Amino acid sequence: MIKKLDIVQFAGINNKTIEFGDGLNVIVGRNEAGKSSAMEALYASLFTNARIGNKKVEDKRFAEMAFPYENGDHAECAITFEAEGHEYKLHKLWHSSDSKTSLEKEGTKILDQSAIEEIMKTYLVYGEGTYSNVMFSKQEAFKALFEDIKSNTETVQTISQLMKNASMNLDGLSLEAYKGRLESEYKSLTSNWDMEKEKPMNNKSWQNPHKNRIGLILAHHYEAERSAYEAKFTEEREKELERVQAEIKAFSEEKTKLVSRLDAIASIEADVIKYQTLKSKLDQIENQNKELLEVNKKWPAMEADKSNADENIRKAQLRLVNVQEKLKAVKSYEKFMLEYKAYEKKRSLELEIDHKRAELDAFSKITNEEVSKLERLEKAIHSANVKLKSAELAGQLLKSNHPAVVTDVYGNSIKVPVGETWTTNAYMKLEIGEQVTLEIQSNQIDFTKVKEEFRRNTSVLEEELIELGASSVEDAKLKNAQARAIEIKLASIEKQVKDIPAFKDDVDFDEKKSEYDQMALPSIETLETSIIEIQNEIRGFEQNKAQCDFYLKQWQSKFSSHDDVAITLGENLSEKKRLTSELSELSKLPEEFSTVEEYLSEIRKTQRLRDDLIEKINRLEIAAERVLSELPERSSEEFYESYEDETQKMNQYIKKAQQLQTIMEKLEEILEQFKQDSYSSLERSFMRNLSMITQNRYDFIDLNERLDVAIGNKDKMLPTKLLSSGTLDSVALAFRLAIIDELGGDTQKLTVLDDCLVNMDEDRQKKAIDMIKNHAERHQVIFVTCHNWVAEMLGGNTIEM
Amino acid sequence: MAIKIFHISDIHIGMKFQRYPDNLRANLIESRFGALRNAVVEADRLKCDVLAITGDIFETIKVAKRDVVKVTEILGAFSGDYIWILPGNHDYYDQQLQLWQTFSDTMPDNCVLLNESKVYSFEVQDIEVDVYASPCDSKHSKVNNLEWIKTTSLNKNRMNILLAHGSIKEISPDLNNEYFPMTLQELGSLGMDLSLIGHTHVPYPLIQETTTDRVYNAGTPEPDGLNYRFDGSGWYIELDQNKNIHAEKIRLGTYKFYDIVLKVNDQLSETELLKPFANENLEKLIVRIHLDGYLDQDHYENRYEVMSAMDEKFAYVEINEMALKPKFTQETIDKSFTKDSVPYALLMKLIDESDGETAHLAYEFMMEVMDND
Repeated sequence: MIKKLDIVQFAGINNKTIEFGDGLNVIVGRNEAGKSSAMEALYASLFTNARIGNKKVEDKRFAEMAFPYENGDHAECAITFEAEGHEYKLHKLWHSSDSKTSLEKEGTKILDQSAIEEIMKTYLVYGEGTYSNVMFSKQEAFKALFEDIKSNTETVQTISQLMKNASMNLDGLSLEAYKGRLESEYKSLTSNWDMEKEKPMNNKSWQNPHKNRIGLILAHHYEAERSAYEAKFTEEREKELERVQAEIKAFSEEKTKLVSRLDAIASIEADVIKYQTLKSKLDQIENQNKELLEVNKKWPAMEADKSNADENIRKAQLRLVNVQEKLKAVKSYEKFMLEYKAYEKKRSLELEIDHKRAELDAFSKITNEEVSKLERLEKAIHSANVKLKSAELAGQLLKSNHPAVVTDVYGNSIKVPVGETWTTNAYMKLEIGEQVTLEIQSNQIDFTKVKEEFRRNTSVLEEELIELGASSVEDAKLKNAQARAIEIKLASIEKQVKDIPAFKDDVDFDEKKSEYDQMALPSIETLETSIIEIQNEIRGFEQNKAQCDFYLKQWQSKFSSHDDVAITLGENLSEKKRLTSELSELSKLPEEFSTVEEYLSEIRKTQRLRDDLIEKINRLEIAAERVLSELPERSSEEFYESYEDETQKMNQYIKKAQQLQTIMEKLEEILEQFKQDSYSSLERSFMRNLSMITQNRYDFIDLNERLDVAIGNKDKMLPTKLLSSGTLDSVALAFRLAIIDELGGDTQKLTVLDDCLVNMDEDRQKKAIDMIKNHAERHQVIFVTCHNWVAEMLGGNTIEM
Repeated sequence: MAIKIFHISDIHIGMKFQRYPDNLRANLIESRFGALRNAVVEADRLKCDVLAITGDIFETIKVAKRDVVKVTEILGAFSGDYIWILPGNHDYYDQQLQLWQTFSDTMPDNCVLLNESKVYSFEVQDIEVDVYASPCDSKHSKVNNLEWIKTTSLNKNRMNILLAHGSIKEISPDLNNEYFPMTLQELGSLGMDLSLIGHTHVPYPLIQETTTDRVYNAGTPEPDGLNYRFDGSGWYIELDQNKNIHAEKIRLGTYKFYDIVLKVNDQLSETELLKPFANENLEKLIVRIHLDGYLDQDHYENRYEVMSAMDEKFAYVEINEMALKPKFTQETIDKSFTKDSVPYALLMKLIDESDGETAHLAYEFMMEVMDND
């Protein structure tokens, strides 16, 4: 920013200081007041080398313009400007031989030309052509802008670069600064915080925290987590303490109960133990007395029992001998009876033999031969009869007044009525009434012979039968068989008699039998049973005796004698009395216990339980002490409150970070979108200015790389050479300001405008003034005019010349 | 003849107030002693016979010894017949605890520590009084300590007064039922002439004066956090020999807390911010204001200026502007940027695709960057 121009001597101006402000500066003055010379001085101070030769055309021109008329040989100015936060004063004395250039930086003067040039480059970042053609507009050359810039290669390059590079309208916002600000804010919130996972980067918790670059979110997260931990820690300790205290309380109550129980039962322990000893002694005496009394009572009886047993044994043994003898006698009788039965059998068999012999004698005996003879006769008769039968005759009485009497060969007759039929064997005699007798014989057999054989044999058989005393052949056969059976029986009996051994001759069996019958002897079984019974009886008595012996022997060994038993008994009774009296003085075993062991075991158990409880309580008290020492002084409720506060703050920052994230994302999207737009930023800026100054009459431009410019609207486009003078001025101003705006860099740029409104109509002038004022918000503008009304309309820092 | 009782509870001596700045923190801690002192002064002014404290005098069982001694010193100034001290759930009784040992060692002679669940008998103004004490023996308990009373027969010829500590279902939320929960019906069924309860910081009944209620919850004498919107108070209770009752709520606290949502529309001004606190002594107010609504652009931009002006007015103020949004419209954008510019396009895109608040944030940074140029 230019701050001051000190003109010592330049053209017609001497010792003039002009101070410039930020933004808009308007230099107003009548014609010939030196406004243009001042602008030349400003330009020369910045760009024109102090050494002025006399050969070059431009040097000659400069000397003519800058050196005072008519004898001036030099010009001298100093310009004060600010660059990158520092103030510089550049002093130049233009002269053909004694030229001087110096630069003061905050009081220090520099003369080295190359050092001066380096410093100047930080302020004058573009080539001189760009400054002279674009930033310094002279009235007469204003409309020649397009030609001028086209003729200056450096300016063409600069503008072409603008058309290629900057492709978006930032409207005064520095993108880098904005992005940087958003990012730094985002970073200050989210540093080391993972927005996506919503936790610290690398999972570093508050217990192992990030040491550096802690964003606000993380800081509050750590605080919240710490508070939550503290709250939970405190709450756990509080509850742990409550639990331990409740346990101590419960155990203490239990202990109190146990102690009072112990006090109640353990105080009589010595009594109870002594009681138990004495009682046991007493019980022993009582038990012994019981035995002594019993022995005392039983001893005489036992002795009596023993002698009874002896007597019984003796008697039973006598009875046993008696029975045994009887048994012997019975056994002799049994032997005799076997012999007697054989004897009786022999006698009976002999009688049967006699009987059978008599029976056989009385029986008419028919021999086997006789039987055979009879059978032969019977067979011959039968044979003759068969022949007769084979010659059968049949007859029928057909007509007769009388029945017929028919007689057969065997002499049998039958009466036959008329009409009836009959048959006979080989012969029939027919008699009808008294007048008719008829004999008929068969010719089929030798009837006579056969009739003879039949008659003879029948007669012989009858005779034989009569002789044998049999009624028939069958009867003869039966009698033959009966005789044979009696003979066989007889032979059998005779054999039996032969088998019976012989008896002693001197024995009279019947007499002996009658003797025995008179004796009425018992059975062997009865006697043997008696013997077993008596033997058992004897064993029983012997056992009784052994038992008595056993007791008596035991008692003797234990008590010596029956008398001694009585003595001991007496002694015991007096000891019992003494013990009973002593016991009555002592505390008894409490009723709840059945034994002293149980009682003592209960005491020991209770003592053990009490001791265990005391130990438990001690341990718990130590634990309670420990927990209490760990318990923070703040309550869990207060920690929870802090947790909620911190969480709320963290959430606020998270929300802000998310918003920043959205802004940055959307910004990238917008930038991408702008990059794709066909117009360059310069073109847009130019169009915007043009549309403004022409009040939307022209809002399209066509600008090619050769910087041929055409303007127009959606209906038509016009090249600049066809534009009117006023319009051309407007277009030039719009373009000029657009170029300056788009030149880039963050610093404000100098714009010098030498009465560029003169050819414009009133409306354009107003719009142009608005545009210039707007431009002056971003850049330092020096506007030169000879019209006060223009100066008034522009406002800003007015410098009168 | 009547017994005059001054009933307070839940003083929570030993709270740390870590979220507040150092100076205020010290004042808040001290104000709790102040409230107890006020209670003693008020009880004496009203010539009370008994000062009854129904639990949570202390915030924790680990409260500093000097604080315990300071409490007993303050109590020592009470000139009535008795001070009935009931351990609450925050300062529950356990004989091992140093807290109650120190308390017992230093408490004034007229002080009775009701640390056992039993009937304590007193004679006050020639009236025989049975105090049924239900102290807490732990911080948490799913059941209250009233069961033993239900099986005890009351002597109707005596004045029967219950002192208990626990959450009363109808008055305060105890979502997990872990603070000795009880109900008004349950308390009523005990047949007491007077029930003095502690735990819930809200006083009960909510009226200023009564001659019918028999159950009283003292509330806290000194508000202790943003979630407590009442004055700190205690009950002055008269109970005559015929068991007629008269009770009056007495203000005791110094500080008062406000945690409010303030709806704003277009404008934000000091007047607007102070409106909810008319008739309050702002210097003793601790306030959190949640601003909710839309502000005009310029008001939104100036909000911090207005908000920071509040700092000097209150003892403490915290303004949450999460729900506060600028009225950020296309008009503002039109005014600020040309239509084909990147900032214009970005702000419009944010309004369309995100929200006005985000767009405004983007806008604020644009202004900041441009101002810095």
